[in-house]
Amino acid sequence: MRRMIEASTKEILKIFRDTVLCERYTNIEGLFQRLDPRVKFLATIALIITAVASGKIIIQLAILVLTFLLALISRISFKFFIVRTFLFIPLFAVVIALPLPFIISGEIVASFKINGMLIMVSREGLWEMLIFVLRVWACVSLSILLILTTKWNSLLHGLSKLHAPRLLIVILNMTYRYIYFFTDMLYKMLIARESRLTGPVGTLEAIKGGASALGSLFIRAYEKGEKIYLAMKSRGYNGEMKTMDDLKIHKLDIIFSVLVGAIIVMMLVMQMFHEFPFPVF
Amino acid sequence: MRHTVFELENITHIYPDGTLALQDVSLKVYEKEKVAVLGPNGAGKSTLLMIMDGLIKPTKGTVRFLGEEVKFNDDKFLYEMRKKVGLVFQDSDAALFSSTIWEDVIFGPLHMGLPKEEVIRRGEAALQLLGIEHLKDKPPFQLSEGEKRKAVIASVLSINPEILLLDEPLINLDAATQTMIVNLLESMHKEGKTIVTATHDINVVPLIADRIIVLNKTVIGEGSIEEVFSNVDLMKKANLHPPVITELFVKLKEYGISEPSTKIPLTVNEAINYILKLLNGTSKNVKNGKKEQT
Ligand SMILES: Nc1ncnc2c1ncn2[C@@H]1O[C@H](COP(=O)(O)OP(=O)(O)OP(=O)(O)O)[C@@H](O)[C@H]1O
Ligand SMILES: [Mg+2]
Repeated sequence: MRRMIEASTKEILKIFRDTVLCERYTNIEGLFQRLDPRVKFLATIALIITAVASGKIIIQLAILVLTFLLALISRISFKFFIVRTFLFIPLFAVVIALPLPFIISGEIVASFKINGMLIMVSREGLWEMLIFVLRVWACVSLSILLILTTKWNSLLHGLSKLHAPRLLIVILNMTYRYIYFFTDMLYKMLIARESRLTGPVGTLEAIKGGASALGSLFIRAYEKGEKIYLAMKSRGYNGEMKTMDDLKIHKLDIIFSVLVGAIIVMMLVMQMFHEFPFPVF
Repeated sequence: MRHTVFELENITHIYPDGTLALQDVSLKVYEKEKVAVLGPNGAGKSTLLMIMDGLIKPTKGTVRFLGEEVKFNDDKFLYEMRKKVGLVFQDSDAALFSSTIWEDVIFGPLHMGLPKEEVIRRGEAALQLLGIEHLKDKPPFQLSEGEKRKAVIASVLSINPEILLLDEPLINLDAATQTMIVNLLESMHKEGKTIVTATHDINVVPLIADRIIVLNKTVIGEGSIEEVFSNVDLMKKANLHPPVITELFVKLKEYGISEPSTKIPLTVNEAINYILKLLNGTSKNVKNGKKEQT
């Protein structure tokens, strides 16, 4: 079991480093890769707001489907995307949302006794849970799509063109570098640890060793982060990220913006006027 | 008298955790010179170079750059200064912060606000100078340590600074690459650049400097290479051994084998001259491994 966890941690780190941090998908010729980072950013935010604001499952689902379609035409491997967005993050959302069916009162769909305590599951609670999970899933997929298809530097460049506060950009930038090093160092550390393991280690010892190693790793990553900032400053960085691509709005950007705008308006209209056969839809 | 590029006065630096890195350091770096800051591990060399690049504000003391006092809180002043000063970081992983080597190499020129064509031209020239064109699209962590070192140097040379601060530039490089970098620095020095190198490796010093500043928290000695290397007390105080070649001839002298008219050799070429003199009393000048009659 422990071996499995260790192996999969290493594998996840490696995938994360090699795809997200190496910006592997940013060089592929796909739809999202060709859009201006500002357009992508604003469209993503608009869709996220729609997903968060809407209480109708059909809209969450529609946004999810849209995101997967966009990922598909951006030539991101479908399996990769599904695994990334579904397996890791909404799982955590499920954990948060799990108590909802038991807490929210309404029409009882199931009830059972544990230790003499009556536990009831409400229909409204179940729907709330579903909406919550879908909402998180939609937001996460949208963000992941944006990050996968955009070079971090151009995203920051776009943000500063949108007059985002300079401090925010510096913080985003440092966070990214920090995660980069943390992942890389953690990966190397796991390998180094493996090379020193000559015999079986008890699970408790492994956890203890892992915890202290992780602690020192945080400190090292922090110090590295500071040095990176100095190295950037030393080469002329003043808080504004510059890139080679001069940002230009092309026809494609306009078409895309209009489309996304239309879709959002359609969803809002649907939400307001359409009566769905089921009360929860 | 040559102009001074850097003039440090009574610089003391204490890190936030209380570590004393530098104490009362006063020194000058002259225009167009090649100077080495030599000292053992933890002597404060990296701290010193970062202060010279305006990255760390010293706890005490003043730094003058080209005669003007460095204002560590004035970002405008510092940006202008860093267009003239390039620092090759000791820590390659920190210095390669972009997602590809190419992005790292053009980072400097791009942030100086140069036009696009010039940025590309400089990036390509720097890669070529270091012979790492083939690494252009690789992410830094896939490189070997030596390759990273070259990439860091390229990413600073693309800025084309007048003053180069190099923190252990030759570390992790194989012999052939070391020679290449040494030659590169030599030609840049001939073009009129000022070169400051921090190192703990005494064998590197004769290759990259004419003058040494010995640092161990504070400046404990200064002078030409001969002066410093033959000063046994100073070397001991700095926790340093003289180069193997020099040590050999110092030992031989103890056995009575010496050539009193010539100074103790520091490099292989000097050693050859010395031995030739010892053997037949004639002086043949050896330069760059080739014989020259004098
Ligand atoms: N960020 C920091 N926080 C606290 N102490 C530090 C920090 N950086 C360096 N030091 C300490 O300051 C002293 C000088 O460090 P510095 O890195 O300048 O030495 P160095 O001469 O470059 O050494 P080396 O040859 O090992 O590179 C050391 O004792 C070191 O532990
Ligand atoms: Mg150092």
